Amino acid sequence: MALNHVRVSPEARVATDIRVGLAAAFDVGLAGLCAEAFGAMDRLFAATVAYSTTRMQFGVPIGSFQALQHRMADMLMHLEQARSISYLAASRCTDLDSQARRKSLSAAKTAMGQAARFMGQQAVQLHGGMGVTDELSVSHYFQRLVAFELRGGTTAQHLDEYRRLMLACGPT
Amino acid sequence: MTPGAQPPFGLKMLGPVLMRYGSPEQQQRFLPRIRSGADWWCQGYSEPGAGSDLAALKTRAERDGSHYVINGQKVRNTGGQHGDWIFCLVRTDSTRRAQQGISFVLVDMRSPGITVRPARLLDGTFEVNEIWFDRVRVPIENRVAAENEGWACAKFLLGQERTSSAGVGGSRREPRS
Repeated sequence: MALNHVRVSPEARVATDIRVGLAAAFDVGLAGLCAEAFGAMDRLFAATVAYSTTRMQFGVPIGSFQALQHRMADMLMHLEQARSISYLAASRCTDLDSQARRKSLSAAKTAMGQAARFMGQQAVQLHGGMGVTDELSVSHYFQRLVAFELRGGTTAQHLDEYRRLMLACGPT
Repeated sequence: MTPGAQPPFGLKMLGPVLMRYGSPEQQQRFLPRIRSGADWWCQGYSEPGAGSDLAALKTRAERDGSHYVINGQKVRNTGGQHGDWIFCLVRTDSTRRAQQGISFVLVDMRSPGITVRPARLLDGTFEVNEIWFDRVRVPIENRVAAENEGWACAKFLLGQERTSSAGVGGSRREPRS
């Protein structure tokens, strides 16, 4: 696409300071990413519980083994925390105070990155040999969550950003 | 283990089993070819219904004169697309406790009735396969150890497999050097 003396009226300008505009857009994008990641985690948990009730080994559903029940309980805790912090991200993503807004979103991206890694790994593990094949939805959600953790800043980068903003503006 | 490299099933898993449980004829026939790499081996253990519960395997081997006739399915077979031979756990007795009805047999992958189908993995690669056995004939002399005593071989092999996968040998060597 080439632009050659294209005339645009002043009303077409979106923001007076492009950096402010981009930061605002980016933060809305982060909230969107978090919402999608929560959806993937929610599906992973449902799939894992369902699999544990239908997959039989040693004559019983594998979900009857307490060791696996403990792991699913841990998954549920991560899921609920992810749900709550994705709500935080959604509710704060249009705040005008850019520092407070970014601090909430970095908190969300950090916590959800950790949850995504845990949920993805547990779901694959609890699906046994089937979990590493391409056949089930598990591997697809797992890949999506890997992509989530790496997009828009990694968990480590957002933890660093959160720390910087905590020092700059304190707890809110 | 080098990423992307195929694990040497013959050297690290079947070789020790033959050394411990194989007949002199089996040792003479297969060990030199394992060592030289002339035969590339793969593993026929897991089935759709036998993962953690390996003893629940159902691939059966029925006696027919001087052969076994094998029918069944194996899954998560690593490298079977390249394999010349496969060592298989098969059920030779369904009337007893599961572990007491398993035999360990060596099957030529070129035998009529074997179908190999690649299975795509999470990372997009095709490292493992499903293998179907449809009336595959295997000479009795390809059975390692006595009939229905294959579970002991299977467990012994798994011990070799796990320590090999964990890199125990290399890890123990490093502190000394």
